[in-house]
Amino acid sequence: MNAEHLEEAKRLLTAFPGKSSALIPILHLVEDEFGYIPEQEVEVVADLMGVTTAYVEAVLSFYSLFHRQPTGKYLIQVCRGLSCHLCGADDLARFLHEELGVERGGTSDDGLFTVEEVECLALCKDAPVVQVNLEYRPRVSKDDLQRLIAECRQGVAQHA
Amino acid sequence: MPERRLLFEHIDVPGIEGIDVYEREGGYRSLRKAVKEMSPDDVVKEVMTSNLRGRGGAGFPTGRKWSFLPKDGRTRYLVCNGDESEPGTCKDQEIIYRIPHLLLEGVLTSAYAIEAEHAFIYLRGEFKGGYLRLGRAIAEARAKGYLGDNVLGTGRRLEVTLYLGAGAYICGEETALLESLEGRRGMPRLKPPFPATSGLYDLPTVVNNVETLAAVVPIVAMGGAEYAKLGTKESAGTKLFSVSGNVRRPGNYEVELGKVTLGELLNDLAGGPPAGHTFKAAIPGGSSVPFLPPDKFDTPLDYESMRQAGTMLGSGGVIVLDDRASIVDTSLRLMEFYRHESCGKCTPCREGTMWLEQALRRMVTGDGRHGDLKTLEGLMAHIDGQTFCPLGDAAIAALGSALRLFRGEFVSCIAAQDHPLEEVAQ
Amino acid sequence: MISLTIDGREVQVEPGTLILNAARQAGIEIPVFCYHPRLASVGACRMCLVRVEKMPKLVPACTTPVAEGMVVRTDTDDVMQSHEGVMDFLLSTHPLDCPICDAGGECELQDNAMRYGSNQSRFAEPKRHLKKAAELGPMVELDQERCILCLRCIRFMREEAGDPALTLHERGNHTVVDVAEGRTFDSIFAGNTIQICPVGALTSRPYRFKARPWDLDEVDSICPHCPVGCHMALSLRHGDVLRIQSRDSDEVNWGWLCDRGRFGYGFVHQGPRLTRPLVRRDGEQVPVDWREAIAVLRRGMTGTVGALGGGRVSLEAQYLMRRWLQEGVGTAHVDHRVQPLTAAIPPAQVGRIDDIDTADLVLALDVELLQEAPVLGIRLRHVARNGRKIVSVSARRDMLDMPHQELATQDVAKTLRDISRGEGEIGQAFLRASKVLILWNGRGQAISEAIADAHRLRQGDTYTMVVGGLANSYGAEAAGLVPGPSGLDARGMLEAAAQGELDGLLVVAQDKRDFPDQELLEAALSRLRFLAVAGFVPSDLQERADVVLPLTAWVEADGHFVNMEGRAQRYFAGASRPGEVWEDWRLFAELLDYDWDYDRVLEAVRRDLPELFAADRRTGGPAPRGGYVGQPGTIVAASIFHKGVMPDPLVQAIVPPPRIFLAPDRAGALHLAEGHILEIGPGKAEVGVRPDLPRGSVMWRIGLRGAGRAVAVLASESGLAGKVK
Ligand SMILES: Cc1cc2nc3c(=O)[nH]c(=O)nc-3n(C[C@H](O)[C@H](O)[C@H](O)COP(=O)(O)O)c2cc1C
Ligand code: SF4
Ligand code: FES
Repeated sequence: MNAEHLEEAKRLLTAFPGKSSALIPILHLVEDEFGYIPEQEVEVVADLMGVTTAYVEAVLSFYSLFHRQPTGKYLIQVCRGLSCHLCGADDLARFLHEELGVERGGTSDDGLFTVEEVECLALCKDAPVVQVNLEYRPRVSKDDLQRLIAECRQGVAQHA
Repeated sequence: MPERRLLFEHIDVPGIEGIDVYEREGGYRSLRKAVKEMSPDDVVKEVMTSNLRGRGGAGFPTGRKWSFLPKDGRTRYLVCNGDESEPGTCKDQEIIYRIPHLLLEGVLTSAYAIEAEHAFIYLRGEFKGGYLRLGRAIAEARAKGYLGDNVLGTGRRLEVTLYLGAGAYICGEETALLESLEGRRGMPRLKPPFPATSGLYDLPTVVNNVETLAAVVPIVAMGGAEYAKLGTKESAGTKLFSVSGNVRRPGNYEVELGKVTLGELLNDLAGGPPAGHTFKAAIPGGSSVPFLPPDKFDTPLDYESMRQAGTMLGSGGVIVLDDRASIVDTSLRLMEFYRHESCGKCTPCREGTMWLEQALRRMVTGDGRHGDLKTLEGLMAHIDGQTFCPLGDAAIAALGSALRLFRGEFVSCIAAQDHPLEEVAQ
Repeated sequence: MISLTIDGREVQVEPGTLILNAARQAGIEIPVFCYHPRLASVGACRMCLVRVEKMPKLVPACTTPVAEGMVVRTDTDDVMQSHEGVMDFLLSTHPLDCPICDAGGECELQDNAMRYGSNQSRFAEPKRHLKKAAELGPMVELDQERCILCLRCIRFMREEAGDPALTLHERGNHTVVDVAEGRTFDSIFAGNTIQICPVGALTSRPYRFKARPWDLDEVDSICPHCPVGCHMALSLRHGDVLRIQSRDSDEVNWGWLCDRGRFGYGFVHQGPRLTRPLVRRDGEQVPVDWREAIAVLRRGMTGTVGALGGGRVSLEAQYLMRRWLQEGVGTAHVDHRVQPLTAAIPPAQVGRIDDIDTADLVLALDVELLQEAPVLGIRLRHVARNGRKIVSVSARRDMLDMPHQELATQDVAKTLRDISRGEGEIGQAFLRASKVLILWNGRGQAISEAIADAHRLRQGDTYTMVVGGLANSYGAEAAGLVPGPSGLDARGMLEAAAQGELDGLLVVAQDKRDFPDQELLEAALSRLRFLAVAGFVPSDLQERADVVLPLTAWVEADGHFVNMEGRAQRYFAGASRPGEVWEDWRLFAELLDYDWDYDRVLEAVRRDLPELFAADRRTGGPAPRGGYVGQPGTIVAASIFHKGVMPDPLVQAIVPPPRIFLAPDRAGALHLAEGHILEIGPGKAEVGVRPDLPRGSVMWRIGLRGAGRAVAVLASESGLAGKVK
């Protein structure tokens, strides 16, 4: 973890009435920083928490938002909850897979995109829904996605 | 059929997510009234009188739940359940994102009522945006003295801590939520002990849904008796219904319980089926309840009527299917969800959902077999009422009703795959 | 008492009893998988569902306590169907490799499938593919496909062993049991998970493919490795011990063993053994018959002689040994305390292991439980969990591995006196507590006296147990293997020998490594006229002997070990004896010219030492003086995890490499730092620096060979040059 996150992690250790509660927030910090939970960070977290690495792995592997493999710069989550499913989520997912040349849960070769199909995001009234890095986009169409991809690619171009 | 907006009264006011606009529209009056003019017990009494029932799905009377807390001087906690993961349900999300101060006021008022100095709001991990908004709302409210060490000059202490989950439906179940909030795998705990006696960090804890706690705000404002006049005798007040699926105007609608039928909600408020289509069925209470066919759409939306009609009001997440939707495919989609979300602790849920999913997938992908319906029914019988927590029952509620209501569709799905129709139907 | 009916039978049970156990008491078996009598119920597998009148759903018998007037049925159609369902589900993913599974024949899944399953699994979907034959650690192998997720292993490790080394990974039907990525399962309690796994998911690597359960003989035994005296069962085939399992015992070890006990039998059959009596002739040890060996021993043990050891042999042998030394040899120089130990019997009211369950204050004086009496830690963990108090009183930190308070002190005796006078918060707790249990490592005369005083000062229940020493140190002391009034203690004997003032010495079942002062031992050995060694395995001590007497290992003979609470516990002969070994007691019976069989010996022991067999064994003796503590400035810690007298190929894997620890000032003076390696002859020891050690001190563990030598070199200090890496 970078210095700032480590600082924050240490603060979290005493932020709750029980120390154990800090684990999930700390794992969020790691996921935010790396886009996944790297092996060596599991040890860092275990040491901070004073628990075994097995324990940390047990917890993190339970939750679908923690990744064990690196993810792309943009994590695109296509909701396939029933409501979105009824409103064409499958088509969107297929479109993304083809457009970006990735499999389910896979990351594009340029490392920019990871596409996941996820369970109901509780945005059913706005189906079909897609989240990009946990920011949600209501009622998306393929055209929207096309634009989104372009924007993301450009965003990177601009940063460069 | 009009909406009756209590929670959503000001939701369309621009800037309502900020504290100034919220206050201008009357916000924080209930909290002020509670801490300045009422004792904690007074507030509990109002909630009792209001007949408010939990909006998280089970519909348990909120005042009663609060009264289970032992009076033994131990620290107590209030936990707001903002996990909202029940497919078809997106009402809490709207409160959190669009009118966060309403939730915060409800949480603070309720914490005061149950004499908890510390409340937690547990949000599902995907609600990162809501987490940030609520975070801002808390900071604003703290600056105005609504929480902190000396709430509104009364010398009372009220603290609120936000907690972001990390992706697991089961964490909506209250004991799994507590496990998760304590930094563990979100697997349900054995009950008893119930959270009221041994909850968060083994201390007495009340867990309430976002909408439930938000409803405490109008209840304190108008008085429990007034609130109880809304809705029906057993199902008092207003409730948010999320309408989604094959419908023209999906959205959250707030109506008086029992005063509107499912059909009215779907047709009058939500605009009816997409052009050129008809409704085929609806799941009225989130995906964990049985289907209702259109001939039961005249059932009023309240706990009792829904039960009589063979389903449940649940969380109020109404998913509606039109004539294009395949029931078998829908059942598969739902089973995939439950299989994915089963925590894995107990055998029937862990293995049963997987088995059901595999059998349904075969049917959908053209490999249905003779005897599959029996298998489905047998598997459901082995899950029904035998799992550790209600997720197992939730997983089979819709499928069970689908098999009863739309058996023909399953039969022809298998028969289409080269099996004689009559045999399959057996 | 609560009355209820189960399947029409009236049952009366204690309040709080689970339906499951109420049924068992009535002779009605309810099937289970996740339930284990020594673990908290979880209600996860759902195999035990029963019908209770007025309850809407079937309820788990393993989590539901009985209530007055309850009407339970375990035999209704819906209950039967529920059993069938769970069996169907479990078998749906379970591989059908029973013929090659080590659990075959003692698999709870197999058993329940026969009784409660439907005839045919309806599962026609592909089975899952997970890790098979994964070596989790030196002892344990995991087959994830066979796992039924009963969580027994996980609950045991987390709640009982206090080390969540095994955890659940992933979720739902992807859930598996595993260790952390890249880690090994190296807990000293790992073996318990093998025994409690109801299927063949966790299996024993040493026992792998060795036998089928129906070919095995089972014999009750007692663990020979530490003074807890865990109850165990030997599984034998054709006289070979193939595995050891725990026997459940309320009083002692519950259902558990540490891995030293469970796997520490390799020396019996695999190691080299002493199999024939040997006598030194012209500098060579040559095999002789017993008659001749006895004659040589008798001749050698004349003049000024002494005897050392005996804490590893049976009470029967100890008793006869003491009588022979007294009546036959006529010497008062006898001491069993070769390893550092002042007293195995505390100088006061003797505690019992089950006092742990009810004491509201436990004072642990210099006690390092995981090293000297591991299984007790499991019991003590419950004290911590139940909110009662544990205080470790020692200079050293981290002596216990469950939540406890630490009272750091350079002078344990003085601190104990302060506590007994009610000083400080702990002193207050000491006076107020309704029951106090003192655990002591048995080392230090001053502490022994302070304990005696503490007992005098406190009203009410106060008990002490010595957790240090060997499996039968208590027996040795009770039998009288301590110096008589004019006798020399262990150190005294070696010093006398080194001065040339001792003619002969008999050493019983001890290894050179047992001795904390290697220099002194060397000096003594070089001057002795006669050395006799009796034991079970060859050792560097036996190589020096004039006569060697091969004895049975504990699995080969009947006998008793007396554990730390003064409980004489019987173990039975099971394994066949190698060569010409004699029962340990027979050697001394022969020397006494008794033509006795085992029953006759036992009768004499019971007659002369009745308190060891009594139900209430609460009286401790006066503390023997002296003992043997090594050089001044060294702290000799003991551990049962070493390669000493009962060397074990299996246990090697869990024996740590030798380390010696220095107080920072001592390390500084010697220019040593953490991680330095001391290379001494063939031995090697790593240096550790511990700020919690008293100034100027060195600490090492007995039995770890390189460490002992390193300490000897450190003592001379000048010898250090060129030996540090
Ligand atoms: C599988 C499962 C999922 C649940 N998910 C939620 C949820 O997302 N939000 C919620 O408020 N309650 C959920 N509940 C219900 C909670 O357990 C609990 O009853 C509720 O939070 C109580 O609040 P209430 O009384 O205000 O309704 C769930 C229950 C189960 C069994
Ligand atoms: S490995 Fe054995 S003990 Fe552990 S959960 Fe699986 S079946 Fe149970
Ligand atoms: S034995 Fe009761 S649920 Fe497993």
